[in-house]
Amino acid sequence: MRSTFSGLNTGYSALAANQRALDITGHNVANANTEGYTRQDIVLQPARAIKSIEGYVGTGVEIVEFRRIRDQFLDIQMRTENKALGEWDIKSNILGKLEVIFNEPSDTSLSTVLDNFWDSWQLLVKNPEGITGRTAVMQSGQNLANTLNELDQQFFELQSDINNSLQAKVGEINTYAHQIWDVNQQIIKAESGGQKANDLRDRRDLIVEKLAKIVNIDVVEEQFGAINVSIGGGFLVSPKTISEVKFIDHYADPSLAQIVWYDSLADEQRGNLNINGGEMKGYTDSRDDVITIYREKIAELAKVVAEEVNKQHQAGYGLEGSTGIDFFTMRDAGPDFSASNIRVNQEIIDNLNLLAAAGELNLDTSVDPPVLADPPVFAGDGANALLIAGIKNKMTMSGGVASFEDFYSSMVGQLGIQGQEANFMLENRTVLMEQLNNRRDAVSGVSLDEEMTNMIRFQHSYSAAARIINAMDEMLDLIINRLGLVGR
Amino acid sequence: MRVTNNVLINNIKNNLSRNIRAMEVIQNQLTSGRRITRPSEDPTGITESLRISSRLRENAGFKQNVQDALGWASFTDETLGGLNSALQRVYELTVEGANATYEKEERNAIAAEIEQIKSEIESIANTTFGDRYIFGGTNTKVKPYDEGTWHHNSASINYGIGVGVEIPINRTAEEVFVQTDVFGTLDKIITHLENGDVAALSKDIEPIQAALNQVAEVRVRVGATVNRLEFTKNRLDGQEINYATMQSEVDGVDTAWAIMQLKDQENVYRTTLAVGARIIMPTLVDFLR
Repeated sequence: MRSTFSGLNTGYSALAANQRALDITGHNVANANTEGYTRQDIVLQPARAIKSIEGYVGTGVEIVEFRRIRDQFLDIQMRTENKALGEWDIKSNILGKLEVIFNEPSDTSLSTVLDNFWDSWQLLVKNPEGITGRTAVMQSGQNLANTLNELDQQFFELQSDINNSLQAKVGEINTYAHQIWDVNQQIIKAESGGQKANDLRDRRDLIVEKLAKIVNIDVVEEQFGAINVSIGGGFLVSPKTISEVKFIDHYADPSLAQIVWYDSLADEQRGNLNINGGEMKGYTDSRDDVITIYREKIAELAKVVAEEVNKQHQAGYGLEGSTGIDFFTMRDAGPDFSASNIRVNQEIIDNLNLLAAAGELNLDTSVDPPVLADPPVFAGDGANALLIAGIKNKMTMSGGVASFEDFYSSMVGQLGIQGQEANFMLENRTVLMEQLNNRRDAVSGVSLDEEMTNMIRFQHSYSAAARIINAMDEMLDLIINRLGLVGR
Repeated sequence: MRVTNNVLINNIKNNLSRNIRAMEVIQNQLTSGRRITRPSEDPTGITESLRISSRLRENAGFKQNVQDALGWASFTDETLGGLNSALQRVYELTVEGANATYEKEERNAIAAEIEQIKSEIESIANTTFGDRYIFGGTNTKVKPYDEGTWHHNSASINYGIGVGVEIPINRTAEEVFVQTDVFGTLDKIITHLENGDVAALSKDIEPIQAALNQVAEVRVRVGATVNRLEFTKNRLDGQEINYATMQSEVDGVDTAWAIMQLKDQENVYRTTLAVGARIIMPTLVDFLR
């Protein structure tokens, strides 16, 4: 026997379910442009049927869950690709900055300055007696030394800038770690009843994804919905613990700065962070490998230029018969010349007559042993200047197989190749990320057309359910108010 | 595949930024006139381009040296020409003076003229080019001939006119004046004229002739230097053209090609914008009334 009011309940369950469904649709539309949002849908099932003599009778609808539509495999893939993207993004950026520092091709680059330096010695050959040629050599020498000093300074500054960025990234890692910890705790609480905390999970996934771009992480989901995040084998966040990372700067030599695990309570360092991916790797690789290599190469160039010029300069004679004088001197103790440790001899700047343009002394051979005559050297003697100008094309670099120009241009070529590779990798990773993003959006993204269609669907279902209640109401009205007026 | 609004919008954004980057590269090439503006755009090209640039600068330096050497050499030649006329006149006067029929007064007059010519030749020996004595060897700041003493040396001044190629550009007083003892001969002639020593004067003709020959020979050497310099200049000019051609092949922009590319990219960019305007606008919302 059917209960009189059972139809009302069926209608009510439909009203409630469709109302909820409209809530979800509204939530989806509201978050259509929210970063990291995953669309949700409502999963319905028929309510438990009641057995009657005729068979099982349905009692309406019930809500199973609000489902988050997400492909976990895509998440893992995106974390991996984000790591590579972060690394190449930084490398391409830093190599771009190096290209700007080298400033090739241009009229103010080291290659031009170096050419001008050798050219000025040719000028001295033609004017050894006048102040013009001597001043030209002194100035182009200073220009060369300054350019080398500046290059080295710029390399150093770039390395320091990288350390500042690393420090900022370490800060981000710690912030994200705390955020993940917080959300972890909330999720554990929220899901203790068995339901999934969809929006909290979205938030956590977004943070994890951002963290994945910065550094190599491994993510494992534990029971109760919390996750473990580790970097290179060390736990950053687990359901019960959280660690901190610390950046220890080294101002004198930026490449010696360290990134370590840090226990802030005990104020103790717990070993180096094992970085093998992400923006952090992009930064450390650029700082320690790329920039250091170019810095060393320029230092090598400066060293050989200074040594070769000095050797030849010492062999020549200044206007007053001076000899054995260095053209370049070191700024500090040395032991070797380098791009930062080179300048034009202050004595020469003060007294241009010391420039050893002449190849020989003016000796009076009429007596034995010969004595120095007056003037000590002939003013028009530019033989040594010509020899110094000739160093330009001597094979002095790379163990005597390359000239300065060969060495320098192949170095710029190498920089070009590295830059090209980084740009190429970045381009590839970017395209890949775009595709992955689109694929994820295809699964998890909100489609407004779809939501509008659903809206209409649920709205109509709601109206229809209301109609059913209306029909029940009329039936009850008939039974209660109009059927049989005996009792009145 | 399920396509959402954000997929469409992201695609448009990515494509727009890609198009605009491609346009930037071509615009950069067109406005700078260089195909390679940073090493990573063409690492092999930049290596080549740097080498050629350096060669071009070096070439320009050598050309300047050749030009300066040519100036020096032709000035030397002119000076030697003056010396030649002076010595020629002395030769004529000596021959005249050796004529036995001349009177004492006439010989004295000739002696006076030769005295004049001698001081002219002295100033020729002390000729300067710029502020340098051209016959002094490397002793360019000291008068080569001063009151009967020589201060020159016989060192050559070498200019670099190619990689490892040098050329001596000066002729020294040694070969022009000292070897043939020009001033000694002139003094002798003057003395002989004043003494009326006709026999000695006839013998003086020979050294003057020798001096003239020597000047002619030095001029031939200067001529050879000029020839070599002219030849080098032509070679350097040719090399400059070669290098410049190579440079533009490696690093130059093919304007016609670049403009075609630019137009092409512009088209793609405009199309993307137009498509974007169509895609972003309508959703179902626009049709629900």
